[in-house]
Amino acid sequence: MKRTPLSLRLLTLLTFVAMAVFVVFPLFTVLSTSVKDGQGGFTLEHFRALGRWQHVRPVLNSLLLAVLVAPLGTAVGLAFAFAVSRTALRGRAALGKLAQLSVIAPPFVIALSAVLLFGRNGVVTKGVLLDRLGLDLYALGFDIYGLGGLVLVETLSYFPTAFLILTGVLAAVDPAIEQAAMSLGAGRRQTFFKVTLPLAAPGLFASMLLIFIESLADFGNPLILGGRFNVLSVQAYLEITGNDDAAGGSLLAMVLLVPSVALYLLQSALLSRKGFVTVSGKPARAAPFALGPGGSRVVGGIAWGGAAAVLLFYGLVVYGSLVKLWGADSSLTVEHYARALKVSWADIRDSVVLAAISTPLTAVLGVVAAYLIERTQVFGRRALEVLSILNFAVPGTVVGIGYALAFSRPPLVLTGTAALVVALFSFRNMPVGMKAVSAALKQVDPSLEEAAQNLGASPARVLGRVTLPLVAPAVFSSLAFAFVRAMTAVSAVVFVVSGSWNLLTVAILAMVESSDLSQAAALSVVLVVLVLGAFEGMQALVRRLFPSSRPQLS
Amino acid sequence: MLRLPLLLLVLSSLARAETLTAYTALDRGEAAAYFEAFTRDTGVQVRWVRLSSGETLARVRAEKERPQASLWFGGPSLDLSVAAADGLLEPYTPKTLDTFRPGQRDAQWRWVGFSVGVLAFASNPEVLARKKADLPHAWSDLLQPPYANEVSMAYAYTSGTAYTVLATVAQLFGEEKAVAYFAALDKNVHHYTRSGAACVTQVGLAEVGTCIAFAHDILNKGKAKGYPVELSFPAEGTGYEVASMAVIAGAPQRELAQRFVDWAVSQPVQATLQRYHRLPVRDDVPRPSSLPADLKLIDFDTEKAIARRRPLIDAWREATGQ
Repeated sequence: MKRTPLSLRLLTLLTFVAMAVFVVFPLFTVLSTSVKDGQGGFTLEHFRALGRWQHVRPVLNSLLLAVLVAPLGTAVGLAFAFAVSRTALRGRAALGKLAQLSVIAPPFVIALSAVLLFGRNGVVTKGVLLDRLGLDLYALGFDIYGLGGLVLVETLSYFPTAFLILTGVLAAVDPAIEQAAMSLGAGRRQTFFKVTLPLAAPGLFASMLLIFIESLADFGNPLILGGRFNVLSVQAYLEITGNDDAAGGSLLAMVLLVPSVALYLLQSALLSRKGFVTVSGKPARAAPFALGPGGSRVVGGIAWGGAAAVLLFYGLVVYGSLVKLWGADSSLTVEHYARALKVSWADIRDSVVLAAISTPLTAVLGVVAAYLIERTQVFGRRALEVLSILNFAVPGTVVGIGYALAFSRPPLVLTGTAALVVALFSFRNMPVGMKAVSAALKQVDPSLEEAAQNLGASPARVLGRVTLPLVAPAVFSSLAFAFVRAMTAVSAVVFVVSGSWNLLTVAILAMVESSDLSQAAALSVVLVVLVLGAFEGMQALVRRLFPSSRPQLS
Repeated sequence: MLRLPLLLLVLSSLARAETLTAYTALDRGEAAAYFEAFTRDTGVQVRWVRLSSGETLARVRAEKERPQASLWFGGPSLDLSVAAADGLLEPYTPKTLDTFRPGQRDAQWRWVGFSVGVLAFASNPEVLARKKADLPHAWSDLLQPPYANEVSMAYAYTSGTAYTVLATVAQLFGEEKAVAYFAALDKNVHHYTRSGAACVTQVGLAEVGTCIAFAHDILNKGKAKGYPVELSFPAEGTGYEVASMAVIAGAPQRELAQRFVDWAVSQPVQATLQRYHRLPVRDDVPRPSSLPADLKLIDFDTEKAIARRRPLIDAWREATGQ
């Protein structure tokens, strides 16, 4: 092994310094704030607050919600995965596309729509049931605010996670095994329950864990729809921004952080276990096992039910954005769009500008980290990998609190600056790029690079002329995701926006909070259009530039 | 890309030597109206940022060494008193008004009142009719069974409005009874909100039947917008907030900020306050006709409200479990 060149060592050092400042330091600040007394000494005094009901209840609520959403979301995702890859149902490609749409859309739009549909003045609850049929659901104890409503919107928001994982897992199940079972006399039903499902079990478990984590970290939906059902992320936010209690908020953030990271590590261990993957090197692959007519009906029913719900929820936001004054005057108007473009123009501009600045930075960070991890022997590259993975699993609320606390005092004061938001986006989304580039690098034979090196090219030249062009499609794909994630981020940035740099998502949440529903709906539509346009545009560009590659969801 | 906006920001701030910079906690639309009128009357441009009152306090404190704004406009006197005690404000006696009612200016002139907002109930008559309840006319009305699950207010620890409610009830009935009151009220509360004015629209949308908020928010965000929101007042007496203003210590445009304070308490400007359903701090201008003439205000003790803030909020949190 040759000595690591100086340039590479410098690059590694730089990466570590950057990660230390923008990933480790904020997290450390959250931890230290939660164990510091007023004079800066160490104390566990704040932990006594965990004995108080107002802090215990959000913890229990968060866990209860996540426990309910995880299996429900996985079940819907499983139905989608089966409907798309194991049936001959018509329109199954559309189902897949729809599931992807929900990944891209901002996370709180469905909650907003739930209010428009099922609130006291909702289209369903008032417009149809009360006014037409005389049925007052609310008099019967129904309430969209609270646990029930949250389970509904989070299931609809997070089933795509399960869909994406399970599609991959189902594709990895060797159809020959299922065929063998059927040749031995098992019926379709028996094959499904005794062979296919058990083979997909680790995937099911992993997707439940991931949805559990997503539900724990969810901020936008519970803020809108929680009612009295307070969850951890929202309570931490209230303590910090409302109660001016940094220690209490940090403590709740720590409570949120620990299970998230632990469960994330557990699920990635599950998914990477080789024993369950049944793809062998043998080229002959039988046709995949398809569900029979009965099974197709069941999964098709669930999947189309879910799809119809998603469409209904998104459609309602468009309708809501056109209503003059929700609940009082239902004539249609485009004035909310005119107002959105006038009053909220600065927020729209800030969102696009900051997301656009952070996107290439995210990609550079992702490429550098992936390159160091996959292609060099530099000291500490495993640590870098672990750090990136951890960074991915940290709930946005924790990151946001960390940034707000860490960069509000010397040595590095960034409060209120665009740089703070850009740094948050870039480092938070960096693992997305890193994973995509890592996966691409794994498929490129290192001998290509070694050949260039042997012919006298410097490492920088090898990276620029050989490696990068080979992974360029992955880089571009991850650019699209970085942009989308920056445009739709809420839970972390809500702590770092300021009067001078506000974001569209935060502005929308504030409007929903003050029940300015039509205005919020109009801005949500603007946001979804921007995001979808940018995403599809970038994907189209990738297809144009690299015709042979396939865009992938991370 | 990052440099360009920063550069523009620096350049534009240089170009605006005659520009007053201000923080305000007033509603965006209302704040814009006052600042535009000031520019019309004096020719001085205003660059302003709308922040919640708690945020403003944090911001002014953080910028203590190098103040970025000269004027703090429309914040609750409770917050301005805290800032004054911390040395963040500088005294100024407006040339246009030197006699304020008790509690409507700081003893050392570090802040002065601009307008007075009174607490009231906002109700949706349709919802209450369905529950066979009348508009509430007393604090105790809200505890009655027909209001079960129909009341809303902000968290006492996130909202200046809600803390004013808490302090009002405490000063009316004593702290112990007040805590018992909010524990009982909690049984009827559908949900709490983060900001004080948010519940008005929720009443309009029939999400809840009744909420406690400032009368000016109830009128501006209720009927004026087209929502069926009715206003009523507690017969026992109601509390109020003095929306106040101050020159920030070390203000970069001290003279402009002082000019704004003079302007804001001048007679013509105070006369326009009725448009926004706020009570003026002057006696020689008309009160808004939207508020009853015989409105019963309590003797709100600002000093006490500030001193008792933390213990009262802690007690409220214990009692409500929020």
